[in-house]
Amino acid sequence: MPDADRATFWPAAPDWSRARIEGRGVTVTAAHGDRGVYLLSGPQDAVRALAATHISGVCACLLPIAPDRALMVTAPEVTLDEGWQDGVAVSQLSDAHVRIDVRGTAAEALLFRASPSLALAGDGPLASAAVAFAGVPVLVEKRPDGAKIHVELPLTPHVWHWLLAALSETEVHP
Amino acid sequence: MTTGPQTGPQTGPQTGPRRISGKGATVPFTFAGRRLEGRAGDTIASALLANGILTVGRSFKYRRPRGILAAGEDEPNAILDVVLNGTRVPNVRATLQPLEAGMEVTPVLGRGAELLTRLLAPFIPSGFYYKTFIWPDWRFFEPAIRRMAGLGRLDPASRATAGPGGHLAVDLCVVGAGRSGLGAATRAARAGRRVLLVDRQDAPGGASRWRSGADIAALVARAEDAGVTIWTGATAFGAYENGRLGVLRQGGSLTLGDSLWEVRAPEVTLATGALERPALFQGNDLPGTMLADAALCYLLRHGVLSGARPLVVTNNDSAYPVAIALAMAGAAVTLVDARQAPAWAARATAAGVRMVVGARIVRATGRGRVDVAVLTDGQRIGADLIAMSGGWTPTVHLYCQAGGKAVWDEGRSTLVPAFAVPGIALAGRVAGDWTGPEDALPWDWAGAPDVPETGKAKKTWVDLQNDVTLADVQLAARENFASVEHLKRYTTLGMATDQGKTANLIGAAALAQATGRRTTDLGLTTYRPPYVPVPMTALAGLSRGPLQTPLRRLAAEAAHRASGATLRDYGGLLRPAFYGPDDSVIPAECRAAREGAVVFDASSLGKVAVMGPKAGELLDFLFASRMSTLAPGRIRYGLTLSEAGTVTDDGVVLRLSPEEYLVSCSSSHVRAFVASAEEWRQTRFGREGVHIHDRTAHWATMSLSGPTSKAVLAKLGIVTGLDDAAFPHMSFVAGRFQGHPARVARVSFTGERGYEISVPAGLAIPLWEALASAGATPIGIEALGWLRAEKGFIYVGQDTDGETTPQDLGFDAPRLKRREGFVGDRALQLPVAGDAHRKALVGLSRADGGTIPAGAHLIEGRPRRSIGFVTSSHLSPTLGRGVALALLEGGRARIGQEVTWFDLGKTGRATVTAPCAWDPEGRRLDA
Repeated sequence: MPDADRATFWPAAPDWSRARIEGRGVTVTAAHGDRGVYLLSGPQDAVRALAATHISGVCACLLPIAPDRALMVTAPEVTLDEGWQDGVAVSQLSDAHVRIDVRGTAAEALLFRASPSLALAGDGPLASAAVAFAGVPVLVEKRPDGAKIHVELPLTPHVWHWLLAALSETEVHP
Repeated sequence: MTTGPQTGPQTGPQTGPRRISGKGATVPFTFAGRRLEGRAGDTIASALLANGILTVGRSFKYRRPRGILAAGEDEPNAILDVVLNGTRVPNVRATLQPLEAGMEVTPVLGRGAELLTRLLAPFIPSGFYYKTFIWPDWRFFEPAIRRMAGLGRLDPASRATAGPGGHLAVDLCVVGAGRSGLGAATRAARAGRRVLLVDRQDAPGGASRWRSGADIAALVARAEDAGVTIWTGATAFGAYENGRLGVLRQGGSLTLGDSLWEVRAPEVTLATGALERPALFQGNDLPGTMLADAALCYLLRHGVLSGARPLVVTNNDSAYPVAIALAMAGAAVTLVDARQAPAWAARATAAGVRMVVGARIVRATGRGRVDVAVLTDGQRIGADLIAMSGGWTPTVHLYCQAGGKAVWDEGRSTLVPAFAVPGIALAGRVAGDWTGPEDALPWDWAGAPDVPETGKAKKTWVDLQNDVTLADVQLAARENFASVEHLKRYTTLGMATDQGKTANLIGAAALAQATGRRTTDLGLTTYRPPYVPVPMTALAGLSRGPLQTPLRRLAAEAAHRASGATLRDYGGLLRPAFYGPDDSVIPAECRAAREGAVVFDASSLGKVAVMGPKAGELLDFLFASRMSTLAPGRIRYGLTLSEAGTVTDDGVVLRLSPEEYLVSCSSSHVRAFVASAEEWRQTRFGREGVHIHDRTAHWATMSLSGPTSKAVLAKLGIVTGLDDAAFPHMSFVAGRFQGHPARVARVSFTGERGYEISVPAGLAIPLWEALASAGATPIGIEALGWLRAEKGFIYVGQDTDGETTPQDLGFDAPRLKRREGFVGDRALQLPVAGDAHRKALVGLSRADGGTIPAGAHLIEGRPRRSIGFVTSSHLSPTLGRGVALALLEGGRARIGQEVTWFDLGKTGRATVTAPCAWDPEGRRLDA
């Protein structure tokens, strides 16, 4: 461990409610804590059934992570008790992730650059939303004009600064 | 036999290379301080030749002058340092790097470099190091040799850059944009497939740009119309598993750096062409000696005539178009063909080329450059350029990297692919297809390597970059380094930046001759990535500086910065070390913890939920102590072990409900715990009865402790009942903070009354600020370490090592009492686990109250022997003396005894104590 103060070396995280990167055909914004986000795990049918009764609102979705695991994104007012519910394990993760929204004409090239899994999937769906992105694990929600990247809060500054660095370079397109 | 217009040595006013045609904007640059001009479209190499510069540097070992041999990635000599716009880039490959205005080019190895080495050169043949530096010890010589070795130098003042790289997935990747590659790519794209075509040159066309009459522009247009993505300046340098290719793309400018791309393609077509082999003769390293194809490339691509009096030497037909083109450009060309009746002779003669057939070149002479060539028939021919073709070697590197094998075909005198590799197709010359629309006559391109049996082998160069001569190969053979792999290691033939592209085959042929075997029987060295050097900056890409190693951040980091925290990296986390400009504040933070109330950001502590009917059973298996007996609302401390019985982590478990537990493991072990728990869940407990969720990031946790912590907490109103009877140590209650769920747990990191307050991460800063406003003093992780050392609380990984078991830390129950199985239980029953001499955790104190250096060894006997080491050591502000923890052989039995510590030559005495130096009864937990 170096003795120096590392506060300068590691740049501070932005205020996620106002964070924005714009340029080179890509717009990046961030949001934190404005959706109900729940991790559900159990038999697929049971997970889907539980999600079906609670999923609602703008941008609601169920992201597959593993055969017995999915992330439910729902309206902020939806509440779901944590714990073991009829064979499904439930955890609230609304504050665990920052959603980074990457969109624009050059978004695809930027996303492919960040993630081999996204490049491999191309236009097709992802078998699992859990992929490596900028070298760290994230959950990806593909959109027609880009993607929403669900990044664990402690790793979000890294992903944000990676995007800043990538977009400050000369070229994104292949 | 000699035919043609000229006889005898030729002389003339125009000698050496010069530009004879071409247009384009002038590009100023310097070489070794000389102001020169190139043209747009030049490479550095073509610009140097256009300015008449033959010598571009000195050889690595013998410091001989060297010129430009090739025009592509096979160039062994023209490796240069370039400064552009203040940025120094070492080891630039002159034959591949486009010229830019303002480049300051210097040789990697100049004339004056390493004079001693140059003078000693005749006395340091291959294997010299191995034979000479045995006594007294290799390490005695190694530093000096390492200083002398290597090419180029790094300039610490220059910030190397890397261009944007990334990942790309396509249906087909075609490597090589010559006629064959363009055709394969176009056909596939027309069939609806996503096709990427990569080529290392600055434009598509491959060798057809200077060799064929094919309409390359039309071929490129057809490919683009079909939807082919074409990358030029892009070299596929490696074929890896699962259809992955490593591709290095040149930046738009030298200072922008190269970028690394990982291309995934289920099918790859290699149209990589072939590389020309040099001829072996004395003096074949003199500047002015060049591959024939390179001479043609410089002439037709760059308008540079590499010599006014070229001597073209060949053993195959491919050099004839070169000779004819040079003659048509006005050069006085002599062509020497080793064959007796070459089919192209009449055509060459008609173009004005003087022909010598049935002869070979024996040696080239000249002072620092080619001047005269001597043939086997005794002719002496004046020449300022020797353009040579010793045959061609298909570029099979990627095919071999993908699992293929190339074998030497004696009949065709070349390498051929031995078998098909799934997913890899070959097209064009790499597949042995040398036909083409431009070939009006039969095309005998084979040409076996011709290894001279007479002459000075010491002056005949096999590998120019490594200064390996024919004599070196023969010496290796005499010393029984008879395989090509041994030859490579013994002589360094085929190593370094060019990886022997021009040397490997003729080296193998030379070894075959020296050992009386056939090249076929020798085999080849293994082709490994990368095909071309890949800069470290390109490999790193964006992963530099703060992006090199992702660091986890605290949700309240902004508040810590605002509070004046000094932030440091701890186990992959950026955390406050202390609150102040330097560590002089730590004692005050410690005193505040013992006398008032302090708050520590513990958000990174694990919060791993284990849920389901089998949750208790799983936790009983994962922990060294039982957790299923825990009552809801209560907390229990526990250790996790490896299967070897050693401690991997410690933490507390909260029972949230009958079927839900929360594991609070240590900050840097969260992911390891989750991975281990998930593996055991899936392999032993099934997917139905228990699930594991990592909730760590959702919660921010502030650890409040100290004798007045209860009063501070009461001010926040998060929970209503703080009575110790209802809310005892090692229990938790639910509460609310600013209208959101909260949880308060009574645990202690400091040995004082303590509360862990957890709220959703979005409320981390409000909670921090509320606690500060209520009177809690912020403390960093350094003060926490001091406080924990006073209490004998361990940090797993710091106060334990890879052999520490629970009983070494004073926890005997897992080994002696638990009957049911748990991770590590069997190892705890081994005799060694009960050995009384095991290292055990103890405390240490000095009679004078001083500190003992952390890491100091505890020693005994003569000669002295380490019996343990100090794991933590601090000057306790609470006790006014040093406190230390140590792992000591038979530690518990030594309590009360004195031991000797040793650190960096210093020794001292210390008394062994129990680990806990402060409040051993634990009364302060409820103070």
